[in-house]
Amino acid sequence: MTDTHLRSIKFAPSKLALIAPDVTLKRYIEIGLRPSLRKFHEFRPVIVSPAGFSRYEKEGKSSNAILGSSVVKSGSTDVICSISAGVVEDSQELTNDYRLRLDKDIIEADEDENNSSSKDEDHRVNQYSSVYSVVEVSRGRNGPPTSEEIELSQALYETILHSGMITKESLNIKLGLKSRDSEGKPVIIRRYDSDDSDILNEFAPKKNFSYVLYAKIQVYSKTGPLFDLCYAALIKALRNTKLPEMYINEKETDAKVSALRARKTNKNDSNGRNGSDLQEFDLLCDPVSFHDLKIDEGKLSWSSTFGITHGSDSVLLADPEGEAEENIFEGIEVVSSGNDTLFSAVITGNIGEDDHAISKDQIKEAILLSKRRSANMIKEL
Amino acid sequence: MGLDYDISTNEQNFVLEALKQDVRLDGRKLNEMREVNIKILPSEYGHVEVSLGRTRVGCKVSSEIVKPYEDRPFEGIFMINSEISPMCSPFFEVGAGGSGYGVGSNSSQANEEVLISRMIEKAVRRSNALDVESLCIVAGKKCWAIRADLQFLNYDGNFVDASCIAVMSALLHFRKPDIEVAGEDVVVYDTNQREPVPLSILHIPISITFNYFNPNGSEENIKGDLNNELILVDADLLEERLSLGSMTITLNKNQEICQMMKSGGLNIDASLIMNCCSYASKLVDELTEKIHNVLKQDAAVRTNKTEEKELRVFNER
Amino acid sequence: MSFQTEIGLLDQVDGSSTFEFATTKVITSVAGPLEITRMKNEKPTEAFLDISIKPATDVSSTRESFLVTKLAKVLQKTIDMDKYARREIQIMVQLLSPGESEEYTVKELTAIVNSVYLSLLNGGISLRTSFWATCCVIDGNGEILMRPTNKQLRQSVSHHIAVFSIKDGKSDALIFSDSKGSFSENELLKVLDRCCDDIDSFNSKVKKVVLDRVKRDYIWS
Repeated sequence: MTDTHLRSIKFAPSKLALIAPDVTLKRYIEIGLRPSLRKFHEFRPVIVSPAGFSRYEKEGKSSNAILGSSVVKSGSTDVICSISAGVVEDSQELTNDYRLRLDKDIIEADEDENNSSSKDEDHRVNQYSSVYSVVEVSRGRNGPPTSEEIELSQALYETILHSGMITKESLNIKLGLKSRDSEGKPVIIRRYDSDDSDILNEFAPKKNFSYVLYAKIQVYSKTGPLFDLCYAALIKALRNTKLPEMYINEKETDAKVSALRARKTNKNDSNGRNGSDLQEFDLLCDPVSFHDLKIDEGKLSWSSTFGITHGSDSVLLADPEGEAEENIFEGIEVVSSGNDTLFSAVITGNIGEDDHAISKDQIKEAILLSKRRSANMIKEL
Repeated sequence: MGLDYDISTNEQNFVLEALKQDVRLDGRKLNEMREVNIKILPSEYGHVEVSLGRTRVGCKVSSEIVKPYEDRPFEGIFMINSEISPMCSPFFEVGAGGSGYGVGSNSSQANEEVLISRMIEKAVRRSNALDVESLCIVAGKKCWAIRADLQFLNYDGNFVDASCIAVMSALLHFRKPDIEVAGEDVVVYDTNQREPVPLSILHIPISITFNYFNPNGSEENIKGDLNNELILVDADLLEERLSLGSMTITLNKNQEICQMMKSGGLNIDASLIMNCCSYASKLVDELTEKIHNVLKQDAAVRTNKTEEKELRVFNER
Repeated sequence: MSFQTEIGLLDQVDGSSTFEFATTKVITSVAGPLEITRMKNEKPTEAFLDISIKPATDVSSTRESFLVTKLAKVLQKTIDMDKYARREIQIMVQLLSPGESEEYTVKELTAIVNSVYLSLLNGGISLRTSFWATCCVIDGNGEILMRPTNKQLRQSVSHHIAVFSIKDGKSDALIFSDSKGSFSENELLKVLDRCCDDIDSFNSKVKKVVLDRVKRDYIWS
């Protein structure tokens, strides 16, 4: 009789975490440890700093197109964020300013009747703007963006837009006018400084222009939840973003403004899109003067991610990192300011079987922890 | 890859034998179209769903103001998006033939999608059904871009004819917001401020697809001179798969041929093609009539509301 | 309650449904389990979900890709993935009328989740649980408005979507929730409660439409 018996195979913990992350996790939690060896509610330290490669942070004149930058480090992960901008003609100016027109009373009577106003100012979302970000997680090769990168980019865009951190108004361009003074020296007349506003009103185009912000976020050696780090990097970069002043030439002169991109908006609006073109104006970027991008300080926030282990001894793991921890499906992601305001909360739970459900207490606990974390971290931004 | 659509030999023979006896599986005559149903969705302008038997195609038209192409400053832009999704049949693949993801697969399904797209493009866009010059707002600066998005919902053969009807009725139904031009400034009126305006449609091209069978096999077709090929109008999926050749003719009410395509397949006698043309022209008349009727009915439902509004405003004055 | 649906209207796919509420309308289809179409997608222990969302106008962009990721999060736990190892389930979504501005996706996602649920049932895909989605906004006065109109959405301070699993005719566990805008902890918890109630109120109608469809499908028995 041949004795067949299966020999047990032993794996090193790091290998087991790859093959069976759930088993590894369970074993760690049973003895009260996390695979990353941090405390359950302990976050990784994060270092946030300006990167110093934007055109205004460098010595001397620079033709650099980067307007703001930041570096975020946490564990082995580095995140570099740079902000650039384009100029578009406001679509607002095309929309109907019918209140000055002959059929004003007809329209208003009609609106009263329908109890609806087509005034866009009522709409909260119309006052806010966001930044179009592109996240690149370095993989050592090129290729189309992965779904993870797309998800991050879009999540950043939506969170910033709806938080109302950047107002549309702060991106408006106050155009100056380049002219010559009495001695024949070129000067740039600006709207806010002075009595020259008459000239401006006469010569300046009736159109309004505004900046469109773009962010490029590069991630190297990814570990742990990326959204937190990207969000921190983006906000830090926006905080030190400086927008150049723009002016138009009185006469057709000099070079054209560099490549300007128009972004399509209002896709679902019934009016369709409004076109934008800049071609007819000689819009130039002031090489020296600039102003800070205004960000609503009250809306600065920090994002925290939690994983939730299941089973009877369900615990909240802050900042899950490593094979075993990142494999947890259930989680809570909270963007909060230090006080009571939250700007985003994404909860991913499991179906209610075998105690897998997320409890209300866990949500509360996660929010509490994230608030504490935010209060600590916001001063870093 | 998508799924393959296999038909068993039994089924093949059955269908062919039935066709020889002038019977089609759904009880139609050989030269009979399936019932065309045009449904205009009530919530907005220019959203139409057309069903041709079980084939279902939706078309949604939208507009925006953009800058015209550099080389065509006096013309607006008209686009037709005809990306076929596997929703209508797992036989198609996501983004296979479309410009979407550039997967660039060379499967026959992808080719089929390209063929359908090209045919719709030729039938509607190249035949100048929509007057693009009327879409110009400020020459070289601003123009309307009209976009027709086709939604292929269910595939039971003959996508081309169904989508042609869908695109044309959606275009005819669509209203773009009224605008006013003052110098270079354009004022766009909201739909509840001013009645939106229809597009200028020059003619209504409608495609009719014929499928050919030879009861005596394809060999006879080349060698013999019997000319007794079977000609089917509006083939369903099964017949489309089995047919030995097809021809699509696009005509308008004025009996003008806008587009005609017969690529390969059975060799058909020229006189038969002439017969097909005159028969198609009859069908086109009927379909044009049908489209107009549906639009008229819809307009009746909609104008009631607007008339009321106008009357009310006058009273208040 | 206020939604319209039509189940099993397409015959080339295994399951399909339309779902319409508050001017948002989608049509979804489910085909599967199929042979895997691309080898690299094959998963040895579970099904591969091939999800694609097409907007009403224009081609898919990052906005739709993000919706796909969110939908996948919901479906990964609700579909019995282990049952279809090395197979593919194809889920197609076509938006017919978005019913909201481009900046938002809550209403679309709500309609998509519900429609996909009905399509999965219609397609006979094994599920681990029933589920249902709803959405709401909090307006300037702190009021919670369930299933908002586009105007309410645009004026809102925050907007929320929640998907709950359903057990014994009652909403049970939170599967997915996404909240954006500015809101407080209490508001979030209140929103989740209200969504729970809202889903409960739908339950009888959902049951009825599904039952009606099944009756039609099994007409011979």
